[in-house]
Amino acid sequence: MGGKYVEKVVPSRNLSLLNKAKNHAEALALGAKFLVRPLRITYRYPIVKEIPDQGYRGLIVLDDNKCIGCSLCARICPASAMKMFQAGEKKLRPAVNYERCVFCGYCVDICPENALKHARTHDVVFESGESMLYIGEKFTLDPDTQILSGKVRIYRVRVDEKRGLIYEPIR
Amino acid sequence: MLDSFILFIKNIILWPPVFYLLIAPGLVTILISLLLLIWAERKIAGRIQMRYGPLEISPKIGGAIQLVADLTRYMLQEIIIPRTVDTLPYLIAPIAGFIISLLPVAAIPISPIYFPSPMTNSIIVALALTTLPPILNILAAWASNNKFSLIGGARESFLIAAYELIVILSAIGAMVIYGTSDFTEAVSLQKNLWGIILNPISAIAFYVAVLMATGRFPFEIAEAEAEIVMGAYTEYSGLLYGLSMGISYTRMFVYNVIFSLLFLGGWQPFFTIGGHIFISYVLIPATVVILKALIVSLTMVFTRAIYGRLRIDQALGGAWKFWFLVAIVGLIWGSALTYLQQVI
Repeated sequence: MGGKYVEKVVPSRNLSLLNKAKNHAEALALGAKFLVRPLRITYRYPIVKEIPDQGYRGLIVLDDNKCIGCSLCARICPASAMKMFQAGEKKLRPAVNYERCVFCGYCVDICPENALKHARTHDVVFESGESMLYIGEKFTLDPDTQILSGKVRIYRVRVDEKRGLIYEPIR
Repeated sequence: MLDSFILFIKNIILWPPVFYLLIAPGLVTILISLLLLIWAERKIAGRIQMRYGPLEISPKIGGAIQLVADLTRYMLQEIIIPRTVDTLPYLIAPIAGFIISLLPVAAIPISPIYFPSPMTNSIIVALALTTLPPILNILAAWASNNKFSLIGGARESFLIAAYELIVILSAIGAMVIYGTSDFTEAVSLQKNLWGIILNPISAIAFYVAVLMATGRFPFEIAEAEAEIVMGAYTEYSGLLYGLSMGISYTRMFVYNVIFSLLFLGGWQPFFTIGGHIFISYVLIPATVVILKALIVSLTMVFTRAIYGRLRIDQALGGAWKFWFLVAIVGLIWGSALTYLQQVI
């Protein structure tokens, strides 16, 4: 089966002078309209933050009181990012290494006590390999609370039919 | 002692040649309007393309000092001179181009009594001086020894032939009506009726030819970024690049001062404040002319966000087949108006 033959020469439109002037005027008017009432789809990232919906797979947070140390999260982890560590007498607690983590969410799904949860943010910067290991106290801190308590404006994304993505301020 | 020194400095600054070439409409005004125009161009393009434009450096005033930061960076950057260029023309081209693009200011009056050099045919001299900078552009292209530069220079040389004639013909279309080649007299004749109402055809042709001359969209063909990097200025870096980028904006501002004097009434409405000769005869007319030129320049940078880039053959075809004829029709229109005025 051969492909369909497509004529590659675009026929010239042969617009009359009046039509050309009208098209130019329309383009300029559209530009002026956007100039007066801009429809922006970008936002000022570090100052303004977008909060994703429920179910977003961000950083992983451990609730230390709920955890029973069953090691299921360490077993299911496909990237071997989650490992169990000794925390006191006969007590196992998970720790995650973000150097390996692929944010698949298996550990959160498999946890029988709902001790693990996803935070709703992803924005962290690591300066060294050691700081990518979240162990002990560090693993139980919720990064959402740190980010939301700062001096940032929080936005939520909504899909609008006319404008596409809209960032609505929550706070 | 101190008083006499201050008076000396004041007299030096207010001496017409120095005031013209340094303050208004010379170097200081053109540099400030250059910063303002480039910032406005980026900001307008940002707003229309659903972005913010420059904002991060000074969020409260909309990133207005971004261009000062850019200029500082250009000034501190190393100027790399490639081994294969023809060094002397390579260095001369952007510097001389910037200075020569400022040169028409020497013939443009911005107030009724205050000239850099009194002359009776200042329109012709100013228009003649505006035709010089493209030669330096072609010199830069040739000296750079780079194929992108060469293509840019060739495109520029094609465009010069197309737009210069339109600029001069449409300026003559206005001059015919006023019956003079002196800016001061032409502006004083526009007291009741501006030139753009008397001869709109020549005004439109002049406007489009200025768009073409200064590389604004849709005629940004000689330095098309997506096709030939930066045209004739591909090999430049540092302050030389900053200067070469400023040339087209400077030319646009100077052309628009000429446009506002020829078609937009110059310093009309002209009014005086009793007792303040310097303010009423120099500062207020200069402010009016520069504001008009800035507004026209803003409409020109506004086109960047709307139009795409024409091909060279489309631009040349449009210029020769359409705008050249429009300029001639404007000339005939101006002559007819003059003839009718004489008959009636």
